[in-house]
Amino acid sequence: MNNDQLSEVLSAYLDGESRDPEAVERLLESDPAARRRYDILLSQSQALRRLPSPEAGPEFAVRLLARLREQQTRPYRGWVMGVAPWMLAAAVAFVLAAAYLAIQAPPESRVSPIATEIQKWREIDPDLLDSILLERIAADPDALDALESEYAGVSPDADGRYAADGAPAGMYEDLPLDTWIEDLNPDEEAVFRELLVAYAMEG
Amino acid sequence: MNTPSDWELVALARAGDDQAFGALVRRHENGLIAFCHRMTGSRDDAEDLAQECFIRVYRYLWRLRPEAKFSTVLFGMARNLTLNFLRDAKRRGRCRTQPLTSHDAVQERVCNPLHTPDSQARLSELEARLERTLELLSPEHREILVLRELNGLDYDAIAAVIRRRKGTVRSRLARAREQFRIRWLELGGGDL
Repeated sequence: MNNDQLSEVLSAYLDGESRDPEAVERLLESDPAARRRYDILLSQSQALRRLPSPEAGPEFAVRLLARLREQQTRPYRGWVMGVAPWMLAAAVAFVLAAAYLAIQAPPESRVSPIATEIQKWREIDPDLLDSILLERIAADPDALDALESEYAGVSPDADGRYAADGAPAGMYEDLPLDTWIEDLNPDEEAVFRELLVAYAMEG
Repeated sequence: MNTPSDWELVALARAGDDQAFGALVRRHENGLIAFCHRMTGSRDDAEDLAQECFIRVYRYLWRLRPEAKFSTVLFGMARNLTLNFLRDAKRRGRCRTQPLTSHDAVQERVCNPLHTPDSQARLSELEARLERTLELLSPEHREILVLRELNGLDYDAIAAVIRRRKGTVRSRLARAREQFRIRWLELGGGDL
């Protein structure tokens, strides 16, 4: 077990998330160096948990509700229920069309059509895009594991970068995905990946 | 009478019950402000971000579905807002406006007769150094450490908030702890 692996095993054990807690306990009993590292992790964690945190003043909720009344903010029922599904469907169709066109005639420009579409979407309503994606993924975190194995070529590596080779499965397999992704900033990369997941979840 | 769940309060708020939304805010305000505070280093900014987060939740009440924990949705939005805030602050070259230590919390301890001046000074120094160490971490490492150690989220909840696999949470958290230890030693910290 290398240094990084040991750190990961001890950190997970500390959080009660170890895959094999009994093996870790045996290691801690037999290896003084591992025991020492674990004790440091434990002390560090306890010290952080004791740090005082600020609490909301008694007026926080009152100010918030007053602000909502001032802005006459109401839950976004009408717009979301009426327009958002239409917009979402249109956006999905638009991006799929862009992907189809890219397959038929790869663009000479290195700027990807999907990157452009993500940018446009973000300009229209980034919060809506984020909230839709967040909600879907939050509803089923395990879906990410399954989907990432399907889209192996699209998964980021340990540094958060996408693989430069290895064709992703499915509809993107003929696209020069790595070339597109090189043009994306980290935020766009994150949204791009989430869009792939969202499309896959759409079935 | 049973305390209503978060999602029951959401349902009431959707029906126009502002008191229910107020109860939801009071239930989560401290955790959310604590998270934003540790991320931004400023109590004022943390309160502004928390307010903005609740306003967005209110606007999107109709979109929220009870499949996930309500706190996961909330922290996910707060995370987006704080990361955007930090990015904008970096672009503007804005420094932290105040140390991470909460003024109110320090004030409370100063007035606590159980704390002698010596123990108080040692405690404040330790806390200031811990917070300075947190501050030196990358936002990515800081957020995962704060979500786990200060907000007490489990790996599944963190995975949903940062939108990464549970395995990524596991390895990133280990790296964040290792980075924390290195920075702590660089700042001259000894045994905790």
